[in-house]
Amino acid sequence: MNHILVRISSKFIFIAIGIILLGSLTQLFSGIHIDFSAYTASVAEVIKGLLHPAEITYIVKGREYNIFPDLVDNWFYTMRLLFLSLLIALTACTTLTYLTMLLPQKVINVIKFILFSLKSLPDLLVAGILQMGVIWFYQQTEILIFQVANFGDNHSYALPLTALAILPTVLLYRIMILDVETELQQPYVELARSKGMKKRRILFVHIFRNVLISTFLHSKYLMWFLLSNLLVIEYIFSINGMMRFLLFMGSPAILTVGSLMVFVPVFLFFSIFQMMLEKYSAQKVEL
Amino acid sequence: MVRGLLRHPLFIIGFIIVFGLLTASFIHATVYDGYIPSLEDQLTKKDDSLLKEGSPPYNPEVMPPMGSDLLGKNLFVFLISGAKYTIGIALIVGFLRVVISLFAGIFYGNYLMRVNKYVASIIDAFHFIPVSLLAYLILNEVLVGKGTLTITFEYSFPERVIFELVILTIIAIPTTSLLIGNQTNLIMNKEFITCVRTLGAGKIRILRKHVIPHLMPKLVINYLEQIVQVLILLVHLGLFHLMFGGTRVVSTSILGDSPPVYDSLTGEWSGIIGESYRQLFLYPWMALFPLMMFAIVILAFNFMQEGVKDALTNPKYRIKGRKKKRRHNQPRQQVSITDESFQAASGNQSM
Repeated sequence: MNHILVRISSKFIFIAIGIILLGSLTQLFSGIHIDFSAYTASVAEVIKGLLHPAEITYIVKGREYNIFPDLVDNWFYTMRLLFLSLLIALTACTTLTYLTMLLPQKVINVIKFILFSLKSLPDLLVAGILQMGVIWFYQQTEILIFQVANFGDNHSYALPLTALAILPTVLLYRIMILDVETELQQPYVELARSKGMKKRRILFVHIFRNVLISTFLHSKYLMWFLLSNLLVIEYIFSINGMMRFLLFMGSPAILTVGSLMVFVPVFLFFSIFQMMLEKYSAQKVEL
Repeated sequence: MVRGLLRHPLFIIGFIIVFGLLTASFIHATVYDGYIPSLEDQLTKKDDSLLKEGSPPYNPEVMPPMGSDLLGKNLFVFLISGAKYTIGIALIVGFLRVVISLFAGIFYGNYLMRVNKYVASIIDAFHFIPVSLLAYLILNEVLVGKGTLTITFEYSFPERVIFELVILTIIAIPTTSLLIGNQTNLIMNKEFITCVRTLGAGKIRILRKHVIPHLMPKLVINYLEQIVQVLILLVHLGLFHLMFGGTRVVSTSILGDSPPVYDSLTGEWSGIIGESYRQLFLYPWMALFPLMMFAIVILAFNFMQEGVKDALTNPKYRIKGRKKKRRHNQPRQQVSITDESFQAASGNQSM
């Protein structure tokens, strides 16, 4: 059970089971009553459907459509948004943390407090302020920075990506500063400093390597946060993405298939990261 | 811990905000009888100063301090009156989540740790489906009542409220129970528990006297965290037009082409968001002010949470002289030792 591939694949299977169980959760309640037999029947049906995913259908205005290949386009768009915003958040918070740590401690404390307050903003408020800000800027200068609304098949990226990346960046930024601060108290930092190394060098070469691991450990929480953020962003920008599709067409089979389609790439991404980290740091990293 | 907390500035600020909002809301409901200034109200008084400004909604300049909603009600007063529902729901659901998870978690941490790896992985599935999505799909059927003139719901108002509270609670039980279960297990594996066990304490006693007191601060932090989660969930559900206690979907035309009007049954905050966010560009204040109120309350609870965390670790807020004080207050018993007392003691031992 100790080999990393065994651990990862067993985890994969169990999470998949969990998603199948959760996907039918809507059938557990018929009205306000609990209906166990309908739930188990639905689970069985979903498993049957998973074996023939091409036959799963959804209904719009009385007409039935197959979810494939319609869903693939939505899925691609959502995945691009998800991973791009994750990438933006990671790059932004790493650079910002590096720059912040070079500032005097008093300023760092102020920044920490501001980040803590920003963390409390609901994602919807951030998106709303951003939308209003773009409009206001347009009214003042007649320059449209972002496409504000989405029309038809025209995929817009800039505004949803910004709206999606702001809060995760704030969250990660704060976590990273705290991680760096605990790391700064390690004896090796003192040794490096006594040897006459510059703070910039210690930060960049030594501390960041170690901090990246602990930051990575927070990423599960971050992913969950991003997904629920994504739901809101897709809804308010009327993006033809996966989450919005699940919201309107969320039958058990579609919800399960959709969630699995989100889960598999995300899980693979993190597993690769985990494998790299384990090799790199020679210790067990559990997500 | 409690007295240390009351000296912590962050905790106090957070507490005052929440407490102030709740008190204002209750005073508004009792002293002012839930009166909300509105256009309608002015019209009955034959005062048409508002009508000169055109039809509602009015912007914050016309109707200070936060403008009005679509029907011309004063948004600020409306939000104050709704505070007791929103904060109340968050407090209740958060409390239920933590209490139920405490029992489930203690059971899990004591008996099911062998299967922890598998259960934890299965529960991990929650991280890949947004909670708001699940809650929306479950609640949608029950909470929405449709119609053109008369709106019919399948279930009565109390039934819907209880159902929503139950769903909002159980949707977080698995993850929270797992967390508390793991924390319980950590405590159960500590050395002093082994000592207590060798001294002959039973399971119930260990739980009551040792595990729960150690778990308590974590539970308080968890409670405050859950409250924030519930508030965010309420914002999302409000955005998707699921208002607390039910949504009346009024079709504006019989053909059903134009978008329906969503109407909240309670004055709860999230009910305002769904309808007003669609008109963000036209009347930004209508959506942004309720959202800001949410942000303030969430910030207040986060302040309290940070205060608790800091008060637990920072020695500045730890109270040291407490035990000594108590000893001073109690008069010392005068004990005089005689030969008989020795005999009595040894006599007891031999028995």
